[in-house]
Amino acid sequence: MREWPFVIAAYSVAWIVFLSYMVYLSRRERRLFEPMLKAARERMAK
Amino acid sequence: MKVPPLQTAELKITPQWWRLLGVVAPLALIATQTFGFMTSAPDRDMGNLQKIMYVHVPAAWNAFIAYFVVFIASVRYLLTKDERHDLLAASAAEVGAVLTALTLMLGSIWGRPTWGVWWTWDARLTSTAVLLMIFVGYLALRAFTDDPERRARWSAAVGIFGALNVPIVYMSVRWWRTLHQVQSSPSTVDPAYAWGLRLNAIAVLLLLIYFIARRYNIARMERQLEHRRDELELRPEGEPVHA
Repeated sequence: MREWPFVIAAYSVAWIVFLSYMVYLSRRERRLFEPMLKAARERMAK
Repeated sequence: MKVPPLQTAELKITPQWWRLLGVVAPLALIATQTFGFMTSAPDRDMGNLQKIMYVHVPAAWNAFIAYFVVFIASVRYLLTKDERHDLLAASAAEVGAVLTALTLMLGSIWGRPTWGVWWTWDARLTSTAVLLMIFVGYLALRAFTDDPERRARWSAAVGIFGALNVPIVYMSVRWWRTLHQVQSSPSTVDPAYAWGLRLNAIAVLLLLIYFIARRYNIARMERQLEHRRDELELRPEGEPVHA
């Protein structure tokens, strides 16, 4: 069954790539809203 | 220069229907991959390595779809000068590059036990690597060009040129009979594997739509901030800043 490590590696790489790209998009989106959220937090604190 | 932050009203600049796909697409992928594993017996020649086909081939097909979107959006940008087409092309190009890189990695993992090498200068592998390099160049061009109009125009030209390579990549296995087997599709693989391949391709397509829609949404908001920064730079001395 020497092919299984390659199958597991392939599926792992695919999921790592998909999930990493999702995380990248989330971070990029959050960076856009961070100044707005920061300003809102400052207004609330006053 | 301090650019005023985005406002709450700008949070929903496009319909957010696609956000649902962020949950549906990964669940669909888990389901279709499980289906593929459960329904496919080991291949006569490749054994269980055949199961890599369910991620490798859908990744390649969907990369081609992404580049088709780049082509259409780039042509439409050149015809209309509407920056939304430029942003859509850029979003699809980024997702296409990710899927092409994944295709090459998965092909390499498949190639090692099948061909005995991680990489060879086969026509399909080389043309796919060239395609990836063109779109990495496309993304670099966008990152290093400040003028939005010039960036969009040059990107459209490179995007069209890059997308025109897709038919060459697709046909490379027939035009130059080197190591890579001919195209895998539901009509060329064993019927036992056809549905697994179809369903996995649809699941990756859902993921592709989600990625492009979300990246496009981000690109539009970034563009709004870029516009605002440009307005601030052109603002006469002493004029108040409006968020």
